Amino acid sequence: MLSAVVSGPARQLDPAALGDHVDRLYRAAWALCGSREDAEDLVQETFAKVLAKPRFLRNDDDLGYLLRVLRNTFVSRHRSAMRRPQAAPLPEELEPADNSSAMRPDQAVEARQVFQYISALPADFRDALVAVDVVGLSYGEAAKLLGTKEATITSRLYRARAQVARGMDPSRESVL
Amino acid sequence: MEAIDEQLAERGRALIAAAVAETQAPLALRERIEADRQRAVAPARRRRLRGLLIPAGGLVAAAVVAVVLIAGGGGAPSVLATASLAARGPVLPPPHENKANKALLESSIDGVPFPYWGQLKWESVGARDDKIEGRTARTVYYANPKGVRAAYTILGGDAVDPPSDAAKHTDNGTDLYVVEDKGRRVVTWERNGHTCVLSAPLAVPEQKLLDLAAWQGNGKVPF
Repeated sequence: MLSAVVSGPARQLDPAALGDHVDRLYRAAWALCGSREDAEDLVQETFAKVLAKPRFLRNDDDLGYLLRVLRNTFVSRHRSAMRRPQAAPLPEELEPADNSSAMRPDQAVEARQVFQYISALPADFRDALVAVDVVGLSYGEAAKLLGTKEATITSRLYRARAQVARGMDPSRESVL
Repeated sequence: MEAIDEQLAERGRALIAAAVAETQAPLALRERIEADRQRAVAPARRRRLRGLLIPAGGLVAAAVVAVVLIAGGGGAPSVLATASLAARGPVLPPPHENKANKALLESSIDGVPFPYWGQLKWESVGARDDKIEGRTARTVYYANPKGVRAAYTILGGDAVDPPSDAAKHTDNGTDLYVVEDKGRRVVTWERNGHTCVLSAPLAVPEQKLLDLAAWQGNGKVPF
């Protein structure tokens, strides 16, 4: 689980301000799950947990807090899923290429592939990449959130980005 | 070998940036989250109401509370409170372009229409309606080709004062007030006696935001 970042006096998280983070959390969820449908479920479950009771934070990092809840929810769901019998998806259940939010079909396919490759990365690499490149946290914020050093984040990011590029280029070795 | 890795990492960074820029949460997900949020807020309001009524223990207190709720507190909303509505995100489909006047959208508050910025490369991508201090506030969200979003809110009722610390600019004969709040740049001005509030991330240059706010579409956007 991700570690908490604690400093300063407590303040209540404003539920009305949560909407500003939906896009970034959705992208993060997609990069974690590798599937749009799972990402939607994960984001909704995350918000439901946060809204279930008043939340008090000791810093201004609402996004970091939400990302921590999202990631912890993802890990819990993943563990639960691993305990259930696994069913192989039929072809028609595979992720469709369409992405209504993208501007062109080729962009939609590429975005889907990028998120799938990110989700297939080793967890440490994936988490660093999601925190910095997908959600937009600084290296320092990501390091605090993931309980590691900035230098480690830098190294993981570098290698994770290269792996995504390899995966997206059929002429190179794939990570999937 | 190192140079190749460097190129790969840069290519990966660019691919991820492109995927991020073109991906937004589906409207249906936003609607579900907004519904969850409203359900979560409603019991809290009821608890607060009970907390007020029980100590007073009478009809007079109940009447006072009812008046406050109906009047929405009696005060005018601030520009920054109005701007904060943008953070809640769109829950309604984007309004269409007005076929008779291509500088406007098919959406308005008290007869003050929202502009259509298609020719400025900012398309409407969603909307929401709110009540703030008893007044109607409608927000239309616009996005540019990079996926950066701006929120344009028109507040029903009389205009409210701009923030005291806002910087004043005049563009196209319109007084525009700029202030930064919670990582966003906020511009406020009046159109036909109504307060308009436009906000966007700080990454959007101030002049760009001022140009959008003051855009009159060659006189087709009523001010």
